[in-house]
Amino acid sequence: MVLTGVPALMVALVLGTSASPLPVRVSPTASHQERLKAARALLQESPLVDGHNDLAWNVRMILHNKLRTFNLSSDLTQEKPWRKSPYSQTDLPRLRRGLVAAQFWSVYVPCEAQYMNTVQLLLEQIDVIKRIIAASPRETKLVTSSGEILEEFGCGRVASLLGVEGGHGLGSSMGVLRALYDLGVRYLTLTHKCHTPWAECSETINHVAPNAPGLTQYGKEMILEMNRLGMMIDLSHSSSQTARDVLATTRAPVIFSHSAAFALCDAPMNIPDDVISALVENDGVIMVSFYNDFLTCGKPSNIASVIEHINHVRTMAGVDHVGVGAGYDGINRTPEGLEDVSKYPELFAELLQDPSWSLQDLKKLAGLNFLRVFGKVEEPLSLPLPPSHFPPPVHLPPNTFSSPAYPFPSPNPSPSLHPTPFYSPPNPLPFLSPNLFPLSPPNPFSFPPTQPLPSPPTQPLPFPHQPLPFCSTPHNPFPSPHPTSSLSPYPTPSLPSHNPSPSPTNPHPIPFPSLPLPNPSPSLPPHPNPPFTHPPQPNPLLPPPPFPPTGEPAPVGGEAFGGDHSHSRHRRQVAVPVQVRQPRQRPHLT
Amino acid sequence: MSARRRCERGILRLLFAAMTRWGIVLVSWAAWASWALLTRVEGGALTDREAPSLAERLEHARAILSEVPLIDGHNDLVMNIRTVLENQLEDFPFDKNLTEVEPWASRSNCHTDIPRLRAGQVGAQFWSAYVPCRSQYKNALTQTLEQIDVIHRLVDKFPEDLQLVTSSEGILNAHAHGKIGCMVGVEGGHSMDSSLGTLRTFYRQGVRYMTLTHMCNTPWADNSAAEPEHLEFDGLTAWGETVVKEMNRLGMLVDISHVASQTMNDVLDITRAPVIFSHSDTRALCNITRNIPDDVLVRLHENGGIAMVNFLPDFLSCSSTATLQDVVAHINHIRDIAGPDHVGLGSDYEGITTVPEGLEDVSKYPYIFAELLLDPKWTDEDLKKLAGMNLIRVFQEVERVRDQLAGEAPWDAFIPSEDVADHLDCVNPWPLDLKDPLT
Repeated sequence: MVLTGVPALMVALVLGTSASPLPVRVSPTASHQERLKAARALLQESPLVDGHNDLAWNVRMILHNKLRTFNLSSDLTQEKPWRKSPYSQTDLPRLRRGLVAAQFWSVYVPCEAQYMNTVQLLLEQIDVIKRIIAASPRETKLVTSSGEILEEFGCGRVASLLGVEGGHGLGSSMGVLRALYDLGVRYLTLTHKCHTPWAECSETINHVAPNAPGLTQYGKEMILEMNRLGMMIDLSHSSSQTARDVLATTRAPVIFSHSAAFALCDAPMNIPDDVISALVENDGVIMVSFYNDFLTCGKPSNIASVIEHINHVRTMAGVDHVGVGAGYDGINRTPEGLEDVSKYPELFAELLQDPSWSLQDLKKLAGLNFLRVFGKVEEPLSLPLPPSHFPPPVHLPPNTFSSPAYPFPSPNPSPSLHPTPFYSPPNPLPFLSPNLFPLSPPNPFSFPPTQPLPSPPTQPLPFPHQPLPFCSTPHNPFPSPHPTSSLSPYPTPSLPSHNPSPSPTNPHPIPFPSLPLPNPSPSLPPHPNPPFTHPPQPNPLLPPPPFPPTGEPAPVGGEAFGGDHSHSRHRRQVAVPVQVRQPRQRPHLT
Repeated sequence: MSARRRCERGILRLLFAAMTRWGIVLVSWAAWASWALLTRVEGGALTDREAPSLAERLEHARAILSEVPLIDGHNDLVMNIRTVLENQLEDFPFDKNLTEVEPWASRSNCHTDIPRLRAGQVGAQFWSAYVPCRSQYKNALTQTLEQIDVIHRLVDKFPEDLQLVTSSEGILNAHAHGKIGCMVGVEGGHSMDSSLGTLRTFYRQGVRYMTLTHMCNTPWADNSAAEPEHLEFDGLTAWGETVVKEMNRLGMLVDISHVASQTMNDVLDITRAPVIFSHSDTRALCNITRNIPDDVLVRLHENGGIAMVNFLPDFLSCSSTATLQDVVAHINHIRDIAGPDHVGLGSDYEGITTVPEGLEDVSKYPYIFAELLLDPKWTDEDLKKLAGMNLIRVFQEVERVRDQLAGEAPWDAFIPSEDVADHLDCVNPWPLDLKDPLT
């Protein structure tokens, strides 16, 4: 029996605040309340990582990325239009009730945009996620490494991470791939529901045949470049042949950010058993989706259905290779009892009924498995490869460059400029070669743990988490992307002012005397006082000299900005902190 | 405004008018008289003494350039890396003299490599992430990200000589450490696909200026080639103004080279920070629309911005040949109209296939300064400003405006669909007309 709504919250509040610092194993026959209490204690001690959330797509669909009326810190169950959307299952209050330590926000672009403007859409979605995160600095922070996830976990903030859903978004460009990494993206789902020119997907919406079953040669180079960068490879949505090809190519563990087991529901996107088993050698992780269509092929499902899939992955690959990737905000049919992001503890409360799940196993499921994978992906490769380059896709089909692409510099580059691929995997099964995964530096997430996790909270975190005193939070709701504090040791130079100043003494004295300027025109007045006179020959093009404008800049900030948020295109009459001018007169240029 | 203040302003205006009409005559007479007196008093020292030799002037110029960074506003090397190497940098010998390495040696626009940048004492260079107008509405953005990526990788490949720079302080820092500061500029608003989200991404990728157009109109701004018959918007559209305002908010320099004069004026009307011309000359000396008209130069003084002189003979002398003196003439013209605080250098090397005599490549910058040292009105201080301090001042001002605007929310309006209605062939205009393909 699952408690719902307000009673569950009240129980959680009461139990959460009194939880002991260390989780205690409860009897499998304990009451639901006791198990829930133990689950919460567990998730307060060890981070919960979710692999996939489609909120950003909804923000685009519903708000057109205009964030004036949106704040993820508010309770969206009470706000129009979110409260009525079957796709809205996420906000920060619920994420914190669900004890989510880290959330991957999916940067999704639709396959309909493939070969069109996917890169633009991708960058806009990254931008909107960053703006959403920046608007809630007390509750969440964008992070890009496994270490930072733990830091934010200690601070009681939700760590936000970016994952791009759909390789079609890259425009087949490694330059774009590297740009995405620079922007903080940490996994790439190789395909969505369309083949890329270099990777086959599991089901298409446009029924176009793939260039090759699985990965092409260029696709393999993409994988190696992702390895080099430290970008996780997400195989959800990929065809099983692509998954096999990737597993034979990659030099780092992979993830499935939101998938389920094909053996239990033969949805095309689900993972066949041989691929699940192959993750043992690759050391990757499968994060189980909460979507009815994947769990039970569309039939009503409940927490037990999710557990069935988790246990299947555990059976086939082992407990070190399973995680959770609900896919909230991208799904409209959820299992009973797991309706939104606040319900994760319910899943763990149910698992506590199963004595085969030890507490350590549950921690692995919650996040330690994922953190181990992330840590391994971050490790430097033993054989650093040179960065791959733009355009190898000799494999692109002719129609790839049909209308949208302008093949700059040339559609048919000379063959000499296309050297043979610089890297071919020396071993078709690289994961069998032990030296490809060097043991140094020691991986803090290797199991059994060589050293205790750097888990800062020695006191039980109050529930819901309060930011700890050592975690600074910016107060500006729109923090400038550029820190004002400068870390450079170089002092700010004294700049030449507009006022002409005498030349400083020069070590190389100028060999002729510097005399007063024989310039018949008066010297230029200091900027910005503009009684500026023209050179002796008046230029007929010139307008009359401007009247001295008032030099006081308009007030900036406060009500001058953003006061009026009407919906017109000119909604903001922003005060301009430069001089007021007379209306300009353009010369008549004929 | 109070009556008293209005009265004061009226008096000022009258005084000012009198000054400009009659004051000029008096002041210039006084200046002439005092100059003549001084030269006589000093025994005609100036006329008697021989002008310093080129070697002496060069030595002095080099001393100046070792004190302050020489900053060039525009270099198209990265375009050539794409054309020649398809962006494959593995064997790119940028640290060798490329005039001795094929295929660079036989190209007409091989102007840049590290040895020659060092010889020219370049302190910081804006590398242009340019993609052709033919990519507009197609894959311009992808190509632009690839070109930015090349700049980043080039800096990573030659860390001994190059340093990525994204702030005014960074320029001075790089110069102090003997590195060539590398900055990224995007040439052409068509690169950003009419998207402010993309513009913000450029900033996060280190882009510090964007030229609003190249030689094609964007859906929100007219370029100089459209002037005067083919103007679409008579300058900037309403949405184009939000682009400029967002650039101000971000702290990205607004570059108005290449744009129509109407666009220049529109930008100067609304910008909240100084602007730059990264590579433009003056219409007064070569009357083509690609150059800057004098009235805009006057407004540039008011705005506090900077015009950086292009070295392409076609823009300098309206002919296929030019000399170093032509460059000096344009520099002097900008100085005369806008003032010595508003002039800089934006050679356009690698993007130009003919060069002025005496300025064959990036190693020749000191010769400009040596030439200007013949002209006594160019003080050392002025030469330092021309070299780089003007741009640093503009950059600092842009950063100051950015910090001042920290409380302003990002501008987030999509471009109105009617503004791009003719250009949707290769665009998925979602969220319109799109079913729900989630999960």
